[in-house]
Amino acid sequence: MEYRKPMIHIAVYNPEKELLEEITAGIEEEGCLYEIAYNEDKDVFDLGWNAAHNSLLGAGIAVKGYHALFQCVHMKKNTPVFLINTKEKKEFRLLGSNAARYVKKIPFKAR
Amino acid sequence: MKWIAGVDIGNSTTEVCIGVISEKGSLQFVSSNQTTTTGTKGTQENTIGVIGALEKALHSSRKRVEDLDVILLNEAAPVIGDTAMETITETIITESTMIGHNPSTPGGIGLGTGKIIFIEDLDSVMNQDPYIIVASKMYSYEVIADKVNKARNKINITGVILQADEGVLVYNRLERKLPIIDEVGYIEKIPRGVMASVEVAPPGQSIQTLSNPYGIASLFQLTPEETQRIVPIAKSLVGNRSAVVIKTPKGEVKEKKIDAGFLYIHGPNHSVEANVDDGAEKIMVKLEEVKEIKDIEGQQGTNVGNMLNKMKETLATLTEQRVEQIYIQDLLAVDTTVPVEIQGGIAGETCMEKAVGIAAMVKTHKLPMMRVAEKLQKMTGVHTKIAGVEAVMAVLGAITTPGTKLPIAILDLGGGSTDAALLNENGMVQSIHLAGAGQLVTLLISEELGLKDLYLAEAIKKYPLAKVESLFHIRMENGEIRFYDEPLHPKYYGRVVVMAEEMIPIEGDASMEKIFQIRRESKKKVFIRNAIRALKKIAPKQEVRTIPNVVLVGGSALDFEIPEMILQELSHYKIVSGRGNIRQQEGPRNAVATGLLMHYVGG
Repeated sequence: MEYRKPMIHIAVYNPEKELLEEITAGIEEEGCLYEIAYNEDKDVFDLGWNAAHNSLLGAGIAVKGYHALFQCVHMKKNTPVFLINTKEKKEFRLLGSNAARYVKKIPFKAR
Repeated sequence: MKWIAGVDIGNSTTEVCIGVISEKGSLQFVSSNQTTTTGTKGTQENTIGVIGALEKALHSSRKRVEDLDVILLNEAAPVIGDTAMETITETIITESTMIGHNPSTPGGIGLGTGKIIFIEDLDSVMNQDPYIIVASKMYSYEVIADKVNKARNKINITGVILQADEGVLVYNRLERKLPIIDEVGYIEKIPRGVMASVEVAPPGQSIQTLSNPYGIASLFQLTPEETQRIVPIAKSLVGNRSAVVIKTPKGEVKEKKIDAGFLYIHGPNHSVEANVDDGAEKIMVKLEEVKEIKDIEGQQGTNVGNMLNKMKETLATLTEQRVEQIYIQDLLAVDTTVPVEIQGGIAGETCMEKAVGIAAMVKTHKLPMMRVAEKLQKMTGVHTKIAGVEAVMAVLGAITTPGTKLPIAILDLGGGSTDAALLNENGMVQSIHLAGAGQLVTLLISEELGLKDLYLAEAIKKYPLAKVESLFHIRMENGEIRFYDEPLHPKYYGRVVVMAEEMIPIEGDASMEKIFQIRRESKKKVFIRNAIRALKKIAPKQEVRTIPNVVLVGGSALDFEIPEMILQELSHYKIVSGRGNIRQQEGPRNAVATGLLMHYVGG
């Protein structure tokens, strides 16, 4: 059987490097583990859906270019928990933090 | 056939009741309604609410307000109450000494003491003194970690203070580990070159050194006198996962004790004084020594003095009287603790201070119900009269509760005051009005949780709590789990919520258990004490046991837990008590309006 750690999965396609780093920094500050998987070109909702289902924690993040979202296994594919449509770095840090806070079951940070 | 309406204008709710008197003179109740009181009780604005409620109540009978033969208005009890809260101790930490703080994710573990140095000045020092580095959020975590790593080859660094929430990020990038405090907002307030100490406890534990006066004394080599002065610092840091203490040579911290002052309770012949510092319990004992209170004053120039003066001013404005004419007839004091922001904190720290909540009540000249009646008559063309004293009408209405017999007492748990009345077999009614009711409970909840939001405090008072455990389920305060079909809004996630019609999230760190406890304690402090106090005053020979049944009416009797708290307490005295059920259908509402109709027919 495959050995898997409880990690937040990050599925990316051609991600903006700086923004991806903000996301991982957000997760790291909250003390969670993460894993990045580079994917073929897919819809960002599909990426998030797959990431969430690949994670033991049921928590996945998708990054495609400037687009990013946080998805968990219980949500419908097209309605992720958080969806980012700006290029503001702060938003991406927040997305990482909140993904980790979801796993820790503590309230999300507001913008 | 005669159509009559009873109208009870309360502080917060206006209740109406419609009845028909047959040719034989028997009364039949038709319908009832209630609405929020428009304007302050006893002012002409009340008429709008009254007419609205009457229209709604008459709707089912296809009648209009003009079709009524008479409108009966309550004669409001000539009392009015106010509540206030004042801290009686205050910790002031002067600007030259600062403390903090409790970020959610500090970095590292351990204790570090050293001189404050800002990260931009690192290159300018070359000695072997220990240093604590301060970095603003202008620097990224990578830059900070890099600079700290490099500087450690030259100088002795013992800790780091960050402005941004990046403690773990910096910590993970350090070659040798240090305690790191982050999320320190007012970093620019920190003076350069002074001694400081940072401490981070292991996960799941709290700090040991900075929360101990002797610990701080050892770190900063304090004299016994100085150690005495830093006690409030240590006290306010107890239970924190991390902390920083910054001390300048001139730094002085003091717990400034505001003179809480004395209360002077004037009776007809003698006066009694009570020290507010002794706490609410003692005040209430002193209060009971005076049988008939003429007035209560606070010592001038003290906290309680200012508090009562402010109350008297408010009440003077409300009742359109001069301040000198306002006499406090009753007072309820309640001990509590409230979070107060520390002056000199560097991240908005608070510490718990002792406080006393006070509800006071004054007798007024007859509330101008006459004017309301006149206005109502003018607007509707229906003969309107003031038909009965509120308390008496409430007892009359209360007898319609199944399972009651004479003598019967009511406890009217309102918003501004707790009223009680006793009706004995001979038809004699004794009544009393006491300070302290729903509004004081709301104030206690709001202050103790540091909410600064009375609307939310009111909701916490009225509805049960729950914890949102996932986007699809919540755990209620009784342990029950409730699932949802659709995901909850992320703003609720992980939070304690109030289960009002719509969930309301409660910001802050207070746990569900803590809020639950504060809510119940606040209700007990006000209503249990007042229930006993009120019954003692109306019972023959002050013997509470002589009253066989107590019917709870009024807005706060609708509360989901107050009636059971009172039942539990009164069962010690073998008294049957419970929420009223006026006319077997109204619950604890509509007692006065119902009583008005009964009185009209009977009298």
